[in-house]
Amino acid sequence: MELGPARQVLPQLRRGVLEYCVLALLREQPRYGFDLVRGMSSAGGLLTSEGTIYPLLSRLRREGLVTTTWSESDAGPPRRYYAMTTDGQRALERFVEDWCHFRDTVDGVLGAPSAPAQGRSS
Amino acid sequence: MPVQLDHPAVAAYLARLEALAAVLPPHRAAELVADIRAHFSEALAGLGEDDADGVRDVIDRLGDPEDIVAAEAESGPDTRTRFTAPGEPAPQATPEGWAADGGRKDTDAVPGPWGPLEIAAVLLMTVGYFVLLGLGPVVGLVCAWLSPRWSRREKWVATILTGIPLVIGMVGLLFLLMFSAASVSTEPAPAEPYVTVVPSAVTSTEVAPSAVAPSAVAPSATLPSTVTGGTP
Repeated sequence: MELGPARQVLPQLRRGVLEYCVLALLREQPRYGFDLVRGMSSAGGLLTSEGTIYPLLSRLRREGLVTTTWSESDAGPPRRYYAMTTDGQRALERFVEDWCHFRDTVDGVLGAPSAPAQGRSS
Repeated sequence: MPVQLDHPAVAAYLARLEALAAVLPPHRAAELVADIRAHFSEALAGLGEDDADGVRDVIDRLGDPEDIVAAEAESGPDTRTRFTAPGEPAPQATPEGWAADGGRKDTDAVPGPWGPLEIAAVLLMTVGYFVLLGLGPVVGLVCAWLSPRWSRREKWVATILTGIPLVIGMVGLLFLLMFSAASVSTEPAPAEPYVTVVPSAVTSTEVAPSAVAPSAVAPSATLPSTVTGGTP
């Protein structure tokens, strides 16, 4: 099945929200790169190319949203742990606000209730 | 023994990645390759040595090295545009989050809140004209070029915008000096002292100077209309 023009907005949407999803994964505690990859994989479909999470993380670091520390590990090579900064927290909170508003607005316009099986909006 | 990084497929992938990453600034390229290597170490740790499918799967899920390098390249220079430093006003909502990228197009700059250097540069290049004449803007330009926050393009624009008035000012000054030196001999002046100064070539073409108003004498050779009262 060929993706029509209407489906091509999806990659853009993904790219827009990806960094905030990564930040959300760092809410609880610092995590290392591969751990974040696994976390995103379980979210299914958001991270189409696992390797692209590393440029994303390095950008977040340059923007001051995360910090990294190398941690020596007995079991294997050192791991780079990522932790969210207060700027990152603020950015994430703002995004959550914006996202919820955006999602509700679009849902309202599309007339899309939570159950896709319904034919017409109520 | 688990799969190592020197597994042929992995080594080939890493070699390709390193080659493609050569377009990046060296420290970013090195970091990216290090991150991917670490990723491989973790991902391959659970695989058996003969698990070719497993290795293939790890590589496939990692994605095309071109995409990864492209993502690193387009993520731009060190930026603080979208998110401000602690202590500064809170960041705005990020409408660009919905766009394809963050819109960071300038290169080699640290865009963001202006620091003292940038403020000094701008002040010197504008107000400095009045306060320090030519020196202020020059110092301001030096400050501008030293700034890490402005891109090369912005610095050139500033140089041109500042330089043009400077050049015009200097050229104007030069002309002023030239003309004021030349016009000493053509300025209207008290009759008698003036008459003695006028070159003989001029007076010879004129009516007897003493009979005519002083202002009518020499200037008429060059500016007849103004001197004689505007007759065509």
